[in-house]
Amino acid sequence: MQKHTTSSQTDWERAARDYARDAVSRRTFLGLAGAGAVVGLVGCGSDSTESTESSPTTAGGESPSEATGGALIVARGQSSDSLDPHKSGLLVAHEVMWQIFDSLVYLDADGIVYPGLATSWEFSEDNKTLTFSLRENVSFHDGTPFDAEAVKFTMDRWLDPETASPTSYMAGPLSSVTVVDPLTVEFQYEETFVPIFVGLGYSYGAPISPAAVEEHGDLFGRNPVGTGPYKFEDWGVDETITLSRNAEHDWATPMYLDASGNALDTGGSLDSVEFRVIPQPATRVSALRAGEVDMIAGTGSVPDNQVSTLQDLDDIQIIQRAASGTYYAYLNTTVAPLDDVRVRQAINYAVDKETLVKLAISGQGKPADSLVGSAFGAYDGSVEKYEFDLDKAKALMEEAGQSEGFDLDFLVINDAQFESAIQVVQENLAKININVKVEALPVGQVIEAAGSGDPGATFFYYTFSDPDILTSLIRSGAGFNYSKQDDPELDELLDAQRVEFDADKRTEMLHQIQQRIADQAYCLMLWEGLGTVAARSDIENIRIDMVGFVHIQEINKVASS
Amino acid sequence: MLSYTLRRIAHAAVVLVLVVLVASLLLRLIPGDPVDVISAGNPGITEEDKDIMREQLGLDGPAHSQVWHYVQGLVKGDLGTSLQFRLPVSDIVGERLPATIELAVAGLAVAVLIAIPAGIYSAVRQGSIADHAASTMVLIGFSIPSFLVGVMLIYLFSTTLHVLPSSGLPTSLFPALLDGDWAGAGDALRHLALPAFALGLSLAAWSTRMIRQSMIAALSEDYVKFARAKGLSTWSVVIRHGFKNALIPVTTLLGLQMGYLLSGAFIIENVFAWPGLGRSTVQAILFRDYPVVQGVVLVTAVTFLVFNLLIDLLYAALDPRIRLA
Repeated sequence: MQKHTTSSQTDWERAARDYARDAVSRRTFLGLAGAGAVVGLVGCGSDSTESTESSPTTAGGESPSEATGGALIVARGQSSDSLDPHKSGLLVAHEVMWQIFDSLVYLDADGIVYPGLATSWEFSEDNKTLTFSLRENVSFHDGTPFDAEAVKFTMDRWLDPETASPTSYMAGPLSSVTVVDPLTVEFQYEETFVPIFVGLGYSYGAPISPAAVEEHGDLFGRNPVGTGPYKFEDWGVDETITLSRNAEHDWATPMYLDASGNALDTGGSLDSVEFRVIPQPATRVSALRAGEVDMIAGTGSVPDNQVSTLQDLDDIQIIQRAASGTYYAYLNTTVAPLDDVRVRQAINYAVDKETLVKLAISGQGKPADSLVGSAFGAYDGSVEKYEFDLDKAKALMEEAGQSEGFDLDFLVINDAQFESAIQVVQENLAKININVKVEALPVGQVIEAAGSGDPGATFFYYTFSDPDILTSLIRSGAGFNYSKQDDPELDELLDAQRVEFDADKRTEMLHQIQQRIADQAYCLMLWEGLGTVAARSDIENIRIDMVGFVHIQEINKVASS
Repeated sequence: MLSYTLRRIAHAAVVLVLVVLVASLLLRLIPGDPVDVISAGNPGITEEDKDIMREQLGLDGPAHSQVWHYVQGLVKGDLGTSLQFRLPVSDIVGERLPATIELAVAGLAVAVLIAIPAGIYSAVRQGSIADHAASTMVLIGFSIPSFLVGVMLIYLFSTTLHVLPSSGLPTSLFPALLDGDWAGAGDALRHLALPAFALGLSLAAWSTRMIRQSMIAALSEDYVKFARAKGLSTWSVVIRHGFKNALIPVTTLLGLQMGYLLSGAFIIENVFAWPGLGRSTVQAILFRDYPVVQGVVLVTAVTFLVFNLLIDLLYAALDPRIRLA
């Protein structure tokens, strides 16, 4: 893969730009550092508080303390690669890590930072030093006390080149971590770093037990030890990961809510949690319907085409949330005739996005217009929407001298959803005489081919929690910018927004950026998806966070009658 | 017989070496190495970081030297370490192979249990309604892909009737039987029922056809006419004179079908979330987990070769005219 980083960039610039680049290709994710993102919770399905017949596989189990107990079985499509926060950047790994590890702080969809293992924090005058006060009386699952030494150990290991962590860049220009006293720890940064809570607010930077790392070494990822509400028990041959309740965990970050919407102040209530891998979507759905599993969660685990069927069932609930991201295709501005803005606009007008949503994602989403999705607070609804208009498209093609049309090489990820989407696009563009030649490849190869080759268009998507993602998606020279345009005006705005601390000013800049991208039609905008969880109706209080995770500490299983 | 067996084992060893070499080199022809896969979507990673990872994973040399290292390890009985799970490949393969064999054997059992009675009966009662019914079943068994059969079985027996579990294998059958854990064995059988049927159905169809043909041929032999003329009962003639002789070609072909069962198991394992080799292999290929894929290829090839050897030896037992030398 080609690197677009040049040596002239300072470390700060590189780190700041890179932090945002994650999550764009597939299952990785990031938190948010900005402010003001508003996401609606789209609640569907049956009322989650009503109790119905219990699932036949529900294990009994006594209920220590106030916990209602029970076993939760979560079905998902893929298995985790490693449960070492420093060794995996995949969503399928972090969706389990969330339950085993507590992070120092937590971030919600509105950009608010909540205490976690850190109860408070303070920036120095120059914003380059961040001092955390840590929670008292917390131990790791193996009995090791949680303290400033453990935090320092975690950060040092994350940044150590020997660890070769695929996510260490998210720590930013963190130069050193100093233990002030057992419950106070200082993070020193080389430069001011706006997205400082992104890595720290997610399981990437979550404190890990130094003793367990010492003991298991490279196999820590198979024997993870954190301080979280659930402890790791077993990783089976069938890739089933089993966790049990950490009875000592008696607190919750105020970000977590109970069923009545108040801040949760207890640990997890379930006796055990099982993450079971069922690769075949049809089998996964059948297992939920038969009551063999309680919940289907995780990226792409609930098949879009099953949502409406599941919604109609009395004993199943569907929880959805607008995903903070968009699906789109880069239009390569260095390839004629895509260097002509009229041709790019014509392509946008020619694609019938409503039909696309119906066919490619079974209606589970809506057409996209701005590269910043509508789930973001900084979304600009006034951008040019390019509503389906064949006449306009034809007129623009003619104006550009392209009424005869041309061949367009289109790179697509070889996934059923994208392949069905590209068929619609192909048919739509044929109407303006554009002959789409599809090349479908695995995601890694798409990234490689788009970066090094010269495809006309590249299908892409991202899930992210801050519009700063644009810096890595569309700034000239950015790793994922397959539009490859040279637009100093846009670059200037993109650079300015990431150091702008004034929220209103930043939003204003982000609006200008979105306008510019839409006007220039650097991308063919396609759709915005939904994060979906399907569960039996006796599972209560399921919430999806901004990047699609479920926090099991919040979840209860209603006692069967 | 002994020298024949030894010669066959020597042949098998050569075949194995070739299989492993070809598979290892082919794998490395797939674009993208494991480090590219790990770092896809993590563009903050620098080329230096990637090189450190490659070095740690033993991927820093050219393909042929990597394969050479692998073969050197193999000779010492070391299958290598999974790049993805960082666990010894022998553990990964060893833990998953029993479930795959269990499924393949159960599939074979389903096929044989259906095919023998159906094949014999339709040969004896040619043109009867039962014969036509069997032919129809054969056609259906052939035409429907096994994964579709699997999905339909799950829908019927798990989702609608709630009588059998849809997926997984909490307890393995053979260990449970050995421990005398009857509840566990019963549970294993319930989990085994649907995948074994889905896997065995098309083989059942195919074998029914084979047995029918083979039986018709055997039943028209002179010795069968002679046996009938001696006044032996119909079923005694059919089983002792017809079926026993019809079994020889059927056994050969069933042995070859073990390859089909193993590869079919890979598909069925995905449908039924079966904790076998197939699922891990698909995942390992996507991850470019070379040592795991090589380990699976090796073990599958060994299984296949062993089965074929056993089948060849079985001929001698079935047919006294065959002498292996």
